[in-house]
Amino acid sequence: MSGKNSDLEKVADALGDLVDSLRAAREKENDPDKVKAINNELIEANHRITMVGAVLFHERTAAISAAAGKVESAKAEVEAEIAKLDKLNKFIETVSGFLGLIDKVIDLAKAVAI
Amino acid sequence: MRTMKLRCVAIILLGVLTGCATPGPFLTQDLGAIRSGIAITREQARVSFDAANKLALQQSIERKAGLPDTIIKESDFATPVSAADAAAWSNAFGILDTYGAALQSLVDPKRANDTGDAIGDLANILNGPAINAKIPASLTGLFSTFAQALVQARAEKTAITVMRRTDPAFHEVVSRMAAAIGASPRERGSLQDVVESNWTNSVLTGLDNRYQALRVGDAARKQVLTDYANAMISRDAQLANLSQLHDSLLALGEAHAAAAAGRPGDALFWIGRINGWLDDIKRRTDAAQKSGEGK
Repeated sequence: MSGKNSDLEKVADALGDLVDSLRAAREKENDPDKVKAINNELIEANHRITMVGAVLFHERTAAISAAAGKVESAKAEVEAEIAKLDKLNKFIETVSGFLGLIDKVIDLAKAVAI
Repeated sequence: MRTMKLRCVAIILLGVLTGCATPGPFLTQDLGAIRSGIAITREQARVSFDAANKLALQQSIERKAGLPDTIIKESDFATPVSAADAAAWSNAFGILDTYGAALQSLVDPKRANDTGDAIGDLANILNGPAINAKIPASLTGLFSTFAQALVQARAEKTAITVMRRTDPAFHEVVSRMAAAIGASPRERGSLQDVVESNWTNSVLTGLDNRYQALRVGDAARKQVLTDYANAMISRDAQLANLSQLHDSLLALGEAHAAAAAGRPGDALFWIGRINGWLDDIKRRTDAAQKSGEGK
């Protein structure tokens, strides 16, 4: 984990503590009406836990996207190297093509001379 | 004599190159395995997000239906993973995959073979009427192989250098993803925490409320108890899936580190584990859906 340093993480912590307290209170309670009231509080707390969780997930996703950007830079570096190697192959092929053309010119000159 | 010397030099250089080069087949195999692991983990994440959102949405409806108010608001419907965040995760997995694909392409022996062939063709043309270099056929083949090895060695060296330099960033991506999922539901604010809360504080408490409303002897009591037991099973299965997604993400980081360090076999070990976990997740998700989650 990244440590409890954001305000949202503190809110998530506080909600967790609240839920723990409510669950502990429910375990001790025998009055059905009071148990139901506690259950309804738990349902309300859960709704907040989901909402805070969604915002925290969004925050963490933004950090993931930023980190993925660094990997993307490495990909560009690899692609540049591939382009360099492809350029080398292309260069050799071009030289070969040029020399091949000269060969044909020579062959033609010989044929004409004959 | 001169040809003999050249041949000796070429053979020595070829030997040195072969000795220094990274074991290409292992690197190619590791990169292929890592890409496969990324695809599997991406699927694990998609399945897990869908299940978490479905659960939370159902609980939002249950909660709202029990409230006395008469106005519907968007905030009544809470889901832990928004469509935008799911897309951002998919994009991050896509970046990891295309990075792997670029490395795979770089070390693809076909490129080095092409260079060798091009050098061979060039030598043949140099021996043609235009230049008439008179390079012996044996030496042509040797230089062709030498060029091929040189290009392959350079490609693999570059790939390893880039992977070692990128390893902290790769690790950061998967570690942050794992942290967002959470190692256990006790990590507050994690997706595991949210999912556990939706089961325990909403599904189970809702069933508890329903049970209390039934009189002793009512046949429906047994059904509620069955639903309660099934909900506990579904909760544990979904949390186990999230734990495995967490572990898969960390395993991806280990696989990349192993490949970057040139430890053949280690990357395959980690990806093999991820592969096995996906089947477990799908099996548990199907079982949880059949047992009637969100009742």
